[in-house]
Amino acid sequence: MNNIRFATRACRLASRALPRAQYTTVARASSHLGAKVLRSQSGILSLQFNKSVLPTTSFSQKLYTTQTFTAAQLTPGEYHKASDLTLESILDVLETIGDEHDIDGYDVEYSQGVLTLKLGSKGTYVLNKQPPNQQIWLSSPKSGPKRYDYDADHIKWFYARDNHTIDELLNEELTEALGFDVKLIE
Amino acid sequence: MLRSTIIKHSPLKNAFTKPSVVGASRLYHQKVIDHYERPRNVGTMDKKDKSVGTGLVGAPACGDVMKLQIKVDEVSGKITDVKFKTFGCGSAIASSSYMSELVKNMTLDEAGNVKNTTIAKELSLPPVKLHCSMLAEDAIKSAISDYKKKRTAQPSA
Repeated sequence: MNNIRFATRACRLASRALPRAQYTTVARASSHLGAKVLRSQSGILSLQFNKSVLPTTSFSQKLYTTQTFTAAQLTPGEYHKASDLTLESILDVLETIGDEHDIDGYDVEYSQGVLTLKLGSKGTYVLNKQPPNQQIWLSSPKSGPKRYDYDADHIKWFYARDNHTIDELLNEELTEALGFDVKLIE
Repeated sequence: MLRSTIIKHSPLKNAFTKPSVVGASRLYHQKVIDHYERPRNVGTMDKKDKSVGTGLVGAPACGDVMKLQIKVDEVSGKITDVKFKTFGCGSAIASSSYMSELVKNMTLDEAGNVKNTTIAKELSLPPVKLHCSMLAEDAIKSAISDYKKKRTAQPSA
């Protein structure tokens, strides 16, 4: 059912440009055909048919990116700067979401390097700095605990076991949990 | 709440009858307290023994270190004995203690399939302590791979 989920999600992204009736039609059609709706920079929509079958595997095996990352050796100062920047920008986006949307049980807190996001019945996310490992640790109610290393060249926090990045995982899970598109910028 | 399971009978134990985090709105779950006060399978095995696999994970700087040792029966491929030693928080001790109980009498494959989610659910670990259950999963995997490495490195007589 992964390709249907993916197509529906893509439709949701495109839905901003479509009036309601057309969106439903496109979503239904594309999900039946295993296609995805794309929106170009100029706002033109297109359907991309995906004939290949997407693997139905757990999150850690999904290929969001084909990039490989390498952990950098940072000085303590560099690590704190990078991790603070990341957590603060995530906090920014989450606070905006809280202000703009009325979500039951929504609460964001950030203190002493620990970012806690409560989503009511959907669970609690905890992001914290782990200076001895130069990592950011994530605890997700959906996918469990993960540890992210920093790739200085790509400016990304990535999970060493499968190379996905922290923003990929959080974007995916929060979009699903909140029902609208969430993009945490790094 | 840091403590090592080696000092099980230290006089300090009496000072911690009901461990709790000061100022936090949540106390440790009863099951975690139970494992903390009565940890199962604490001890050491001979590292050099060919039927013993040792998994050592974590780092003191991070706050948690777990050493999990399994004794495997060569014939049946089952884990006949487990011993652990953990330095860290109550959740880490409880995770490794519960893991040691779980994998006893499992085959190596079954033990390798134990997921951190099983431990986290059983002990009702809060979000910030899920990493302890992951560490326990890493510990058993490390012990299994150490045992397998020893077996393949064994010189054929």
